[in-house]
Amino acid sequence: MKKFITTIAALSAMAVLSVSAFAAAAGSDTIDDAIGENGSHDVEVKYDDSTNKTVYSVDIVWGAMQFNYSAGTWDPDTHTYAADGNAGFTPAAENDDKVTVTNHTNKELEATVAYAQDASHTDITGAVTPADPTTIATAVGTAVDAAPNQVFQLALSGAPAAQLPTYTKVGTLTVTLA
Amino acid sequence: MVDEEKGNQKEEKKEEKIKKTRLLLLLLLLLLLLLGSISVTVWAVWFRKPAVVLSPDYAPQHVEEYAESMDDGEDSKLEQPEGGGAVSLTYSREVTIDLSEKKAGLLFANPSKSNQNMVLQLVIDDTLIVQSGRLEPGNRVTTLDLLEGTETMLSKGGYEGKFIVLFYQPDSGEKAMLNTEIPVEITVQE
Repeated sequence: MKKFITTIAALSAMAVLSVSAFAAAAGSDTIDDAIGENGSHDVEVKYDDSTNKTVYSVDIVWGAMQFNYSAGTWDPDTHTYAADGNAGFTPAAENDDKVTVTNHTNKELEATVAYAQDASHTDITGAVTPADPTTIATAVGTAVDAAPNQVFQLALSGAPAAQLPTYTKVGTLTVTLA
Repeated sequence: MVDEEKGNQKEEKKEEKIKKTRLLLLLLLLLLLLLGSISVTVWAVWFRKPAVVLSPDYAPQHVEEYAESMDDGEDSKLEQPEGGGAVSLTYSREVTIDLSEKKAGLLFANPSKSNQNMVLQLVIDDTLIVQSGRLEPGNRVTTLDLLEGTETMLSKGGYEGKFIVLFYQPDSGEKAMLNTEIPVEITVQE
């Protein structure tokens, strides 16, 4: 019985070794070809980004978005407002009308800022510059403090239908990051 | 004797008729029930719309239950203009939805340098599928629950959708006048 088991074990070991040898020689004419003449083998590298999801990192900073409106200077002779330099909407403070989108991603991205008026304030329209989708470059090769960014500026036009003694919401901004 | 037999036969026939009629009525009732249940199932699966969920005007009271700390080691905050806002967003554009688990797998974070709380929504064809609770700076989510009933509107395959990110002032809870939309690719699995 002992001999029988030993024989089986020996045969199994031989079978395993022969399979390994065939595996090494697969695709090569000989085992020598597979491992190289000097017993060496090339080390090969391929850049495989397929399993890495792009993780985007984006900063958005916006001003208070508060504007003052003036109809202009009243002209008692014509009973109209003269459209002088004060007429229209002006930002309440510097940069109140700006949205800055900064890209910290290792890929470029496309940003758009759009204004949508509130249903109760259709008398006031807004336009954002630049209006078209804007490509913000990749952050690769840039310092964190100097990451690529794009500044968008909102301008309002029209006139409020009623007096607004306090700052009142007239619309919203949507930043689309594509 | 013969008359009696004839009478019995008549009664048996009558009883048989009544039995047949009852059986027919029973079958008819079962058929109606079957049709009714099929109609209800078809309506529930294909036509029932989930309850409309509105975007909150004030930050939700509940912190998102799946939120986990990012431990991003960020101490400083973004500079924010007075009256304005400053946020940082970290996200992946790939989303998976597991219909059996009724969960969405995603990557979205509100890094510590942000100055606002956030609420994340996932929308397909103007239908809200997912809405997070309050996500405070320094937290991220990788899983969110589907809104009740939305799993019946989806089937295995790919969808194009979008994240809508709403921002809220941490002190007052007021919604900012600016929000963000991010197109995403959604893979739905059974």
